[in-house]
Amino acid sequence: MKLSTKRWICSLMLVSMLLLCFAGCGKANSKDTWNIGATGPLTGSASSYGISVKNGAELAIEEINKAGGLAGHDFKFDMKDDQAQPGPAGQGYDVLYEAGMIASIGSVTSDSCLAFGAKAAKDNLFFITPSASAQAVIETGTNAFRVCFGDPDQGTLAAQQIKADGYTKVGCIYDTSDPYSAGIYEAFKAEMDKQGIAFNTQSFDKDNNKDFSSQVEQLKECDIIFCPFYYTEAALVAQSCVSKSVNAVLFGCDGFDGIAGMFSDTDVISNKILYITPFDVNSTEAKSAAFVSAYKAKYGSEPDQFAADGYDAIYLIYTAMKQADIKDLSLTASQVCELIKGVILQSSFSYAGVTGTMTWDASGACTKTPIIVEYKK
Amino acid sequence: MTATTFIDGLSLGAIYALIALGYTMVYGIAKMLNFAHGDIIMVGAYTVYSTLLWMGKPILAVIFAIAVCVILGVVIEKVAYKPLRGASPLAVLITAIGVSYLLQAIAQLAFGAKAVPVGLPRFPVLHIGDKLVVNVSTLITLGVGSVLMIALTLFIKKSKIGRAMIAVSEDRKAAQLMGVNVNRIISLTFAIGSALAAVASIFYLMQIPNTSPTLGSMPGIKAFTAAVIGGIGSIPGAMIGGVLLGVVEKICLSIPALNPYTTAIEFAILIVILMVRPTGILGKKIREKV
Repeated sequence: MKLSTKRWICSLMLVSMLLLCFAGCGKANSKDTWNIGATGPLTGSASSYGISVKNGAELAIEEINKAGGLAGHDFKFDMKDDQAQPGPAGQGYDVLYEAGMIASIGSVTSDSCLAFGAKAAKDNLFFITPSASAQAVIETGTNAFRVCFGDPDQGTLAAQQIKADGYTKVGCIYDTSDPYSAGIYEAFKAEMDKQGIAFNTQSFDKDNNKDFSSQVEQLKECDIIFCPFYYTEAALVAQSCVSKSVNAVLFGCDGFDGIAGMFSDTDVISNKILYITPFDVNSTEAKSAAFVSAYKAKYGSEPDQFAADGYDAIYLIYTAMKQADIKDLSLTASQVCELIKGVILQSSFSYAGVTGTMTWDASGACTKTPIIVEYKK
Repeated sequence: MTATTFIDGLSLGAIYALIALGYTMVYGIAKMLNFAHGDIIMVGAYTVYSTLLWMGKPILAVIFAIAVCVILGVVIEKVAYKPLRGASPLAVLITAIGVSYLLQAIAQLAFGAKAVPVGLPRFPVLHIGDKLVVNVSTLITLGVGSVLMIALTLFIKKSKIGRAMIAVSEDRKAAQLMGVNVNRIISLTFAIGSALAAVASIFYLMQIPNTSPTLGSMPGIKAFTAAVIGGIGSIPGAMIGGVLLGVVEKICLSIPALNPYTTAIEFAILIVILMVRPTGILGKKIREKV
């Protein structure tokens, strides 16, 4: 008797839950906003990237809606937490698509964005990822685009810069266990070989990413060390250089953005630290400066490159939709995708964002001029 | 291999040895593997970080780190392990792993998942001769580490409490019958092990000036490996194992061809030694009573 009552209650709860789910779906179909979706790591060890992109994107949405939205309808942005993993990113896509997403800024990290892109390709849903830089991401479909540089681009650029600056004693450290780092290294090596510059390579992996004194020791004769990895390790390399009195220039990629936060007051970094980045937080250019001050006012901290990329991705979608003169909320994602592509693939189209003036080609890759920033304490 | 690599290796080995002592002493006396030991290092590192933020005095940071780790070590033993005395070794082992995750999760909640920089004073570089470049912090690690290990050995061999520890490790019941307070000895073992872990965390931060919630995992596993290589339960064994592992790691890291295989080589050494000497370098032969 008791058991069957329990069963009754359980089934009742189950049925009501299911009903609630359908109720949710019903609401989504009668939407009155332009829904932009995304997934990114909002919890876990990569959460800083996801939160930055989310902040940048939400700032852009807020500004666009304040200016009247598009065709009288507001934009709505929703980022699902994927913890930088492909599984949750795919699930996030399904939930967002069910809720009426018409365009997307994809996922924040490359692995997630591959899963996201595979699903988006089936629905032909336009997405432009702010930060997933692996080459395979834009190869998921003709609907896939990106705001950031591709990984290989930065390696090639770095090698060309080293050649242009006339360095001959060159070292390189890279992370063999990270596709971002290894991808840049491969392109760097190819370009260095092409330029005919010999260099000394050292490596590390995710189990040995704390102690860099051995690698730095091996590179003590170098004038410049190319470091294609993220700022946490970069700061440790700089600190190892100091404790080993190695004075080479440390030359990094966009992953160096954020290195300032990894030094404490007692650090006296004597090495010059340079990095390639599309976004300079200290830029005096009007658009970037306005973005930085608006971001600071809203979130109380300086935006990093991920926030800037997220901001640009949202504005690109808005700009393209506006130019395509999209007014009808009942258009499908696939129709919106073709209209957006029709705009941004015109040879005359360029978008001046906070990460530079960008153009796109049919591959989904973005062309923009990088700047080389020097870290200053 | 240069002299610099060798000295760096000895210094890293001293850090591993200090941590390994905690594993080996607890195993010898309480007959359990305290897998939360690595995370004590992490707690020590965050204590240093917090103290420096609040008060900015490195010497206070060192004292607080040792105090917090000792208290934590003893409390963990009382709360998590003491109720399980007499339970199956597997239950205790799983509990230890649970405590390890608990500590990491608390650190992540309190300080976030990102690594944070720790502002311990930086030390100058010494140029000895033409070739040898050594950071003073490396020499401090090596010097203080050696002194602590000698002191610990003397303490265990000569003092009354030390001999009580040996007695408990050899035969707990007999020691109890002879009037040794076993619970106190076990608490003391955890206290000493945790204090050594705190010192190791300070040396670690002198070499690698940042901390994250998972800071203790890798050094913890390496030090445990060192303890097993040396013969778990044996104090000189932990020291030999630690130094061996530290030197091998530094040599591997400094040779580009071996560099990607560093961790694999370290664990391969463990396998080889266990094949040749199943109880480790200085481990006692265990005779099973029939």
